[in-house]
Amino acid sequence: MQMSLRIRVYPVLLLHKNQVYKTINFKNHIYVGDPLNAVRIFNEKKVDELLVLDIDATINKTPPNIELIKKISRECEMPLTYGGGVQSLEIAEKIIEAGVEKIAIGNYAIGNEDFVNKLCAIIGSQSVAGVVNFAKSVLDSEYYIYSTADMNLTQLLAIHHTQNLIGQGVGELILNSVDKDGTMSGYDNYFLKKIVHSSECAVSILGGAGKFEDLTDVIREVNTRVGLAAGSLFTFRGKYKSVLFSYLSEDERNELSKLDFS
Amino acid sequence: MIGILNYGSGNVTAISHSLQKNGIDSRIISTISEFSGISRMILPGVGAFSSAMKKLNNSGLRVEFERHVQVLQLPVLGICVGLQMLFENSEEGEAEGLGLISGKVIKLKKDTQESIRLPHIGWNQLHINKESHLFKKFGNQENPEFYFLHSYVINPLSKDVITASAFYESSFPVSVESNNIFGVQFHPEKSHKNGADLLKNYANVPTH
Repeated sequence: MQMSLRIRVYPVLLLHKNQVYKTINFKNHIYVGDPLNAVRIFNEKKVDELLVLDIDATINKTPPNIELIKKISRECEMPLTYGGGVQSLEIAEKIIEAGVEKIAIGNYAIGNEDFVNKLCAIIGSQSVAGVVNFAKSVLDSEYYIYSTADMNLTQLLAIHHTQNLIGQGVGELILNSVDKDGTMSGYDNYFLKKIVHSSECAVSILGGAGKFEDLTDVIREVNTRVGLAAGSLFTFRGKYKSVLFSYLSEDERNELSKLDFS
Repeated sequence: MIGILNYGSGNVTAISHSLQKNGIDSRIISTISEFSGISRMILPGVGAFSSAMKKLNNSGLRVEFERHVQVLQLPVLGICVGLQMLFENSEEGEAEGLGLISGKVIKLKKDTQESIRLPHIGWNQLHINKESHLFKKFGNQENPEFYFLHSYVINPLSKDVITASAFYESSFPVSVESNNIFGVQFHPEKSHKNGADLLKNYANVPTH
């Protein structure tokens, strides 16, 4: 009777000026398309989940666009996680009421760990994901947290911040590599390996997936269940990065589900 | 007409949209008068068991809801924490549940009681172990997949109420049927076609 929980694979949409954009290393915004259109396409492809991140909210100090979130949620047939500018319990509850399954907290959790704790208590740990934007310092080759408020590396060690988030009870960690973002050169597994075996919550990795093999490589290397999130991989096609929303093929889904791990 | 209880917890909007997309009439019940004309109900729920029960108790809807279930015998479908609330109590917090089904709610663990990676999140397959209205015409699929997001599971006193199980580190019940009371641990409103089919089946469950 042994059947298993499938590896989750999900696309990520970045909202910039209420449209979908893509970035490279969190910069160089390229216009991709209309968010509702993207959601409809992902519905058809029956993607596992969808992560939508408003990348303006933190740097512009603007609140989440609840009306747009409602529209996206109404359209979205799969579980939806929203992040970007969630800085109060009231806003978080409004977003959940709009039909969103999970709230992602990134920059705001830095120094505000007890907000995360309270959020988990109100909407439930399983509905809270901590986004860990990390990058490697050229000075000491250590991994630090990248601030999306200053667009700069902080002096907070990524591993410490992640352990804080775990302590606050997040249901999931989304480890997002700034260095790999948009490069389609493969995930950064180093940090993932450190985290995944010292945490008991769900963990996802994001940043760098460029081909299907990048997904299977991660699972083989960490030998545990990890959520695989990707932006560029499911947004662009071909050498010239034409916009074409896509997802795993049937064969790719089968191959992933056959992977053995502990 | 399906009445979705809006007592302050649960993805009422998502459920309502999912029903609408599938041509099923529904109404969101926020006040007692909105129970009028309802032929069956959905009890949603997310978050912590105790906070959901507290919200239900403070909503002013609980008594009328229980009357519709126990006296009028209308069908009710509990979803996720809504399923858990049908039981007597939970290991999560101090609150008492509705006690409409005997048994309790416990934390997901390995068979060996070691702790595991939680929540149980993602698409998992069901093992349907009993004929249930909810799974009619799922025939082609031996083990249909649904979306799960939870850390606690039901532990019914009588195994007879269990209509499907799933496996994640251990095997556990994920759906129940007991007379007019139905419940699912997963999220049919977010489970693509299988979820839509289940909701359609629920919409066609015969009333007494």
